[in-house]
Amino acid sequence: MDVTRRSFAQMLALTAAVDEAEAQAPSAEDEDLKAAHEQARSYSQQLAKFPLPRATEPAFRFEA
Amino acid sequence: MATPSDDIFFSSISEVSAKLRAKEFSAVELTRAFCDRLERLGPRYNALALSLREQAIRKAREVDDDLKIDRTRGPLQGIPYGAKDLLAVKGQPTTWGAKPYAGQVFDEDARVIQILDKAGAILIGKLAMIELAGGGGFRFASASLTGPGLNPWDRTRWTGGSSSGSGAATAAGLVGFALGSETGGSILLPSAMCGVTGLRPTYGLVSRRGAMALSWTLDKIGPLCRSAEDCALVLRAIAGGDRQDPGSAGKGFSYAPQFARKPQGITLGYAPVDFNEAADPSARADFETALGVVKSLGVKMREVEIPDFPYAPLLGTIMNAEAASIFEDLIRSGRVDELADKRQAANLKAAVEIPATDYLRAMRIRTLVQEAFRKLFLEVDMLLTPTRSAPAPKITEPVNFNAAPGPIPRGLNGMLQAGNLAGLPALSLPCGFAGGMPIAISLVGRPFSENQLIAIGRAFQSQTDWHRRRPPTAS
Repeated sequence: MDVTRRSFAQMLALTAAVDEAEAQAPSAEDEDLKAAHEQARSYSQQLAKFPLPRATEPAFRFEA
Repeated sequence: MATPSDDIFFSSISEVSAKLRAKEFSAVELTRAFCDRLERLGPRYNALALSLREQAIRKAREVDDDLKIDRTRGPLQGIPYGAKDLLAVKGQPTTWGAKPYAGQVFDEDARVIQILDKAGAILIGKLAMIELAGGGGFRFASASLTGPGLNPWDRTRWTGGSSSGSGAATAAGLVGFALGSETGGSILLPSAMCGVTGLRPTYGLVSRRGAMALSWTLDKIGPLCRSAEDCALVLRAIAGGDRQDPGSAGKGFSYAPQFARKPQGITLGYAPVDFNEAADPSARADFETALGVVKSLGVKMREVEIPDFPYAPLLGTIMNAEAASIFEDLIRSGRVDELADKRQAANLKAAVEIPATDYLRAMRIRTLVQEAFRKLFLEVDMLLTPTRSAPAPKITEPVNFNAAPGPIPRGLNGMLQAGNLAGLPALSLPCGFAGGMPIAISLVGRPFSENQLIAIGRAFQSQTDWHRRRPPTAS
C-alpha cells in the first residue's frame, strides 16, 4: 500500500490525538485512588464536626 | 476401632472428646477423616489455604499415646481445628491471604497455636482469608489469594470476611472449630453469614503474638465454633496474659457457667426497630422469633439506643491509619498493587496521608465512646442486636457491611463498629434463615463478661436448634 505524505501526516496526528486522550482519561486506578482520598476526606470532616472537650485524651487502654 | 461417621463432623467438642476417650475411634483416625474432608471440600468453598496433614497426623499419634496412658489435657485434646492464615505456623507458609506475602514463612508458631498444641488440639490446616484481613477496606469478596469465600449454604453467596475460610470450614464440618480474628467485624460477620457461633473476645484477652497486625488497638483473636459452649472451651484454652503482646490485658478466662447469673437476673438492652424496620424484610420474621425466644428465657428487657457517635468514620480512620503504618513498606514499595482488590490497594495508599491530627482526634473521640458504653452498661448487663441486618450477599455484589434497607433507624445500628472501638466482647448466635441463608443475633457485653455472654448464649441455644443445622452442600 502506498502511503502519501498527507495520509502519513494524518496518521501521525491521529496517533498523537489518541495518545493524548488516553493520557487524559482517568484510569480505573486513578478513580480508585480518588475515591479513597474522598472517603478519607469525608471521614475527616465528619470527625471534625464532633464536639470534643479539650481535656479528652486519646484512648490507649481498653480495659474495663 | 472404627472410622468416624459423618455425624462426627458436626458434633460438638464435648461430644467428639467423649468418643475419643471412649476409644470409639483414635485421634489418628479422626484426624485422617477431617483432613480428607478438609482437602476434598475445602477448595469447593475456597476455604483452604494450606493443608497440614503430615504434621497433624504426627500430632494425632502423640495424642493417642497420651490417651493410652490416660494423660489427659482437657476437652480440646485430639480435636482437629483450622487457623486463619494470618496466624504464624512454624516452617509453613503464612500468606496473610495476600500475593505479596505468598512465600512468607515464620520460624515460630503464633502464641495461640502454641497454647492449643499444649492442650492437645490438632491443627489440620490454614484457612483462607480476605487479603491483609481487609486492611484499608476492600470492595469485593474476591479480595483474597484464594478467591472469594463461597458459602456452604449456597456457593453463589459470600461467606463474609475477613475470616472467610474459618466461617466456611466450620459451617461445612471441615474442622472441629476454627480460629479467626476481628478488627472491625471479621469474626462476627462470617459467623453470622455461615450459620456458626462466633466469639469476639474482649480486647487484650487473647494474645496476638505471631498474628498479622492490622490495627494494634483493634485486633482480637477468637473462635468460630458449633455452639456457645464450644466457644467457651476454646476461649478457656487460648485466653491469658502475654508480656510479649503489648495489648495483653494480663487476664485469663475461667469458664464457670455455675457462677453466671441466671437469665432472670440479667437486664438486656435492645432496640425493637433493629428486628423489624432496620432488618432486611426477608429476615424480619426470624429476627422477631429470636427476640421472642430471648424474652422467654426470663431476662428483663429494656429499650435502648446506641450512643450517638460517628462510628464508621472513627473505625475507618483508626484502622486505616494504623494499617498504613504497619504496611508502609508494602505501600511505598509499590507491591501493594499486587493485591487482588485494587480499591483496597488505593485505600491503603490514601491512608498513608491521613493526618496525625485526624488519627488522634478519632482516638480522643474513642475515649468518649468507651465512657458512653461504660455508662450504658450501668443500665443494662448486655445488648442484643442482629449481627447483620441481612443474609449473605451474592459473591458478585460489592461488599456492604451495613446492608440495611434504605435509611437506617438509629436503634443499635453501628454496634459492630462500636463494640470493636470499645473493645467489648460479643457472641454471635445463629437465629434463623432468610431466603435459605443463615442470619444471627449478637450479645454484646461489658469487657471481660464472656462467662455471662456464653451463659445466655447457651440458654438461647438450649431453646433453638439453628446452630445444629447443616448446610445442604456439605456432603
